[in-house]
Parts: sequence; C-alpha cells; structure tokens
Amino acid sequence: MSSLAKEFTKGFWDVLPPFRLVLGLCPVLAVTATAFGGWGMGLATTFVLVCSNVLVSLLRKVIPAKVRIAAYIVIIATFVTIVDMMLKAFVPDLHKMLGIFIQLIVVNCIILGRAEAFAGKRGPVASFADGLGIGLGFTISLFVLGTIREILGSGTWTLYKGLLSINVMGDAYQPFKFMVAAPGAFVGLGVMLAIITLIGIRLDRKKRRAQ
Amino acid sequence: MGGPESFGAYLLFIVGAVLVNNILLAQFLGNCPFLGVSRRMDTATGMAMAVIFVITMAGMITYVVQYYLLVPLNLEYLQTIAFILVIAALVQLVEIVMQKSLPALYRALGIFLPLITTNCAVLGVALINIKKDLYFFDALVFSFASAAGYGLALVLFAGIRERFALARMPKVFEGTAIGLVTAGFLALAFRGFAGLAG
Amino acid sequence: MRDIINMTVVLTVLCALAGFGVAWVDSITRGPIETAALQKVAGAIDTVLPNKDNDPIADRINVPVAPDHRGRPQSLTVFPAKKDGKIVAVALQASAAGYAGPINVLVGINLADQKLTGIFIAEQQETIAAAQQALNPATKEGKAFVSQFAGKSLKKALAKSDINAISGATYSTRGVLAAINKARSLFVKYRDQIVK
Repeated sequence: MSSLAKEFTKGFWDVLPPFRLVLGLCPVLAVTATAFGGWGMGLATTFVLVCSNVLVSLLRKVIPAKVRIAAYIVIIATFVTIVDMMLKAFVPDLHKMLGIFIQLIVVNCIILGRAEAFAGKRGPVASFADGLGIGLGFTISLFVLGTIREILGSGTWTLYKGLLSINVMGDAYQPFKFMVAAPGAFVGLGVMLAIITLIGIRLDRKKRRAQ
Repeated sequence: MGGPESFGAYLLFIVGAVLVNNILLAQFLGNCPFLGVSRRMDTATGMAMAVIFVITMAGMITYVVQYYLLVPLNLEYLQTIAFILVIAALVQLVEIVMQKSLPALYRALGIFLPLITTNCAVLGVALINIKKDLYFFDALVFSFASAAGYGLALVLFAGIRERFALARMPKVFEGTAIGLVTAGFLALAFRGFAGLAG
Repeated sequence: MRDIINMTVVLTVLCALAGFGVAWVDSITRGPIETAALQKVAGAIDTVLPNKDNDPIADRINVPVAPDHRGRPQSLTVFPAKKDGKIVAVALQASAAGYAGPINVLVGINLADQKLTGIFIAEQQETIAAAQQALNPATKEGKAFVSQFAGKSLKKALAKSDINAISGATYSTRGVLAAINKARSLFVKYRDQIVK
C-alpha cells in the first residue's frame, strides 16, 4: 500500500476517532439522537478538519513554534465560523438541530490534535489525506451510533429530516425512549466502545496467529 | 428574554443549571476531561475547582466582549473566533498569575489549566449565556451554577470510579467503556431532579 | 527580540486574514440566511392569505419597531396581500409560551373588517398528544382546530370562549390565543406604517 493511501485509510480503523482515540466525545454524545444529526455533524467536522489540516501544513514553516497553538486555534475557529454560516444559509434544519455544537467543533480535540500531531509536521497532500480519512471515520462512527440510538429510541431512521425518514419498527413499536435521552447516549457509546475494543482484540489475535 | 423575575423563579433557575440541565450529564459538555481525570478523587476535585473558576471568569469576560465589543461594532459573526481566543488567553493569564502569586494553589491546579482551553464546557457556557439573552448578573450566576454542577458531577463520578477500580469486570469494558456506562446511570439519576424544576 | 516581532507579526496577519475571510463569507451568506428563515412560512402563506394577486413574500414590508432591551434595532416583517395594487390583508408572525416551549403563529388579518383570514402554526414543541394532533395541519384534528379561526373578528382580543379549545391541552390553547392576540396588538399599533 502506498503511504498516501495508508494515511487515508488509518482513519477508518487504526485511529478511528471516537473509539480508538477516545477524543471529541461531546458531539458524539450530543447529536446522535438521530442518524441525520450524526452524519451532519460528522461532515461539518470533516470539512473543518480537512481545511485546517491543509492550511496548518502549508503554514507550518511560517508559524513560530511558541505561538503555534494560538495560530492553530485561529485557523480552526475561522473554518468553524464559515461552516456555521454556510449551514445556517443552506441547510437551516441541520443548523437548528446541531445548535451550539457547530460552534463547539472549535474545541473538538480531534482537530487540534491532528494539527499538532500530524499537519504541523507533514506536507499538505499527506495532511489532506489524513484529515479526510479521520473525518470520514468520525462521520461513519457518528452515523452508526445515531442509527442505533434512533431506531431503538424512536423506531424511525431519519436520513434527512423532513425528506427521508423510514419507520423501521412499525407503528406498534413502543419506543425505548431511554436511548434517545441523555443517559442512553452514554450507555450506547460505552457499549459500542466495548464492542469495538472486542473486535480489535480479536483482530490482533488473528494477526499474531498468522505470523 | 432575560432572566427569571421572582425569588422563587431565581432559585429554580439555579437548581435547573446545577442539577436538571447539568452541563455534563444532560448537555454533554466537557466529556473528555470528565473521563480523563476522574480515575482518582484528588485529581477530580482539583479539576472541578479549576473548571468552576475558569468557567465563571470566562462567562463574565465573553459576556462583556459580546455586548460591549461585537454587538456595537456589528461583528457578531466573529463570535466563535473572539470567544475561543479570549478563553485561551484567559487560561494562560490565570496560569501565569497563579504561578507567581499563589504557588500553593498552582501546585494543586496548575496541571489542569492547559487542559481547560479545549474543555467545551467553558465555550459552551459562554455561548449559552448569549443564546439565553441573559442580563449580566444572571449570566454570572448561571455560569457559576453550571460550573458547580459540572464539579459536582465530576466529584461524584470519581467517587464511583474509585470503587469499581477494585471490581472485576470483562476486559473489553475496562477503562473508558465502563466509565461511559457508569456516567449513563449517573445521568439517569440526575434526570430524577427534573421534577424539581420542569 | 526578533522572535517576539516574528510571533506578533504572524499572529496579527493570521487574525486579520481570518477576520477578512469570515467577513467575506458573512456578506455572501447574509441573503440566503434571510430567505432560509422565510422558507418556513412560504408554504403556508396561501392558506393564511387566500385572496390576493401578488406574492406576499416578495412584497414583504419591514416595519421598524422599538429597539430591544439592549438597544439593538428591531423590525417587524409583514406580508401584505394585495388586490389591484392595494393592500387588502396582512400576515404577521408572533410567538407566545405554550406548554413545552414557544408557539409561533402566522396570523392573517383582513384590513377592511379586521377579521382573521387564517392562521398557521409555524413552530411548536408541544409534548401532549392532544396538542400535537391539534397543531399539526396534516391530521383531521389539526385541520378542524386551525380552520375554525378564519372569519373570527379581531376588533377585540380573542378570548377562549370564542373558539373550540383543544380538550386536554389548556396551555397549548392559551399559547395559540396569546400569539394571535400579540399579532393583533402589533397590527393595531403599527397599522398606519403598514398600510401607508
């Protein structure tokens, strides 16, 4: 595998953000009451992550080491503001649903973490691949968690609010409301984290046996 | 618009911010440090104190920035950038001042301060203050009450976590996974307070 | 020393660029944000203002009203229904507290006899099943509840005895009435500026 493809694909398993790196949990918990909120938040975060990664990487020789964190924060906050205004203008339903969590992307540790650990040291192309891979991994995680929580908690599966919502469980289903409420978010994420860890352990064992 | 009017309503406003709408357990703000520092009681109390201090300060300063700088200049769209810079600068400043003049406190809280800039509870409370369109004093009380709720949840959680560090559990749940499930049940307990202030 | 200058220059330039970038995006999204806010009422304007030969959204009037408690200028958006170029009815939005959150109602008022031409529940977060049905125009109960308002006189504030309340949802009924009455008092207060 070429190194660029490796930078891209590592986001889907090796450093899958909310599970393998346990970072950026606030949005994961807060917006995953529906599948729509999950992928919407994921893509907004991906956009900010890719843009900030590329810009940080381009400016890595210009920014003095001592003020690099402040500079990264300014860059990230700028892209967050742009996403915030764009969503408000073109996808108002999503903007309303995510609320202050769009602005809170700025303190998502994943983005600052990638700027510090990767983009500040590597070239723009590699940083782009890294940001895109991790962003999409984050999006998929949020979408899966949102899907599970919504189907159990409301009986529906909202892919796009008002346009595409499937009544998965049928009208007779008594929703397990716990799952869409706050406590269900914690428990749902905890159980999913345990499952991912279990799969990780199994895969490692298989790999070792193969060697 | 604005804050509550009567004394009774004010009490409910505070109870609501501390317990019912707990920023950590009901609004999910500030979860990374919550899971990170809650393994031991003493670090949890240190973090709780530092968070209460910074959230209250940041709530006041961002309020002033919003209504005496951004609104009059018609620059409300710079809110995110301005707030996060103010918070980052504030945390640095607190760190320097504390190191110079309160070395004992700095030794206790110092290591938590850099973590607070990226604690979304700080920016979150600042933004909620503006969103609720509170008056200055109400915003101050709300910031402090929310932060106290955060501290309370953090300390309670650390107490529980210290106990189950000794318990045997499936290997895959060790660490963060069981932490999240426990936080879920703590959140369930906090939901019981909803009857206090609708 | 050179270090410090370098740091200051880089940070200042970065902040300035960020400011300009955001200001530019703000200028291009301002229009779409305003239209997005109107989208909610756009579909309902025909049910609230049935008789007209213009597009009330395109012809909307912004009436300056008293500034809010922070001194920020406020304006009231009014949608006029015109016939042969003259305003015959207007629609405006108002909110009041319901049971679980604000209820926002688009209220249409006929100019000549000050009667309701229709209402539309633009926004509500009610949790009681009876209220959810009565405020949802897609259900039979919703159609019955909302359509009863057309033709009611707004010479005086609308009282609970004037309408068939939603049984089992007193607060929601009260919220809808309060929103209509708020729209009524705004209409009475600013009538001269609207019709002008």
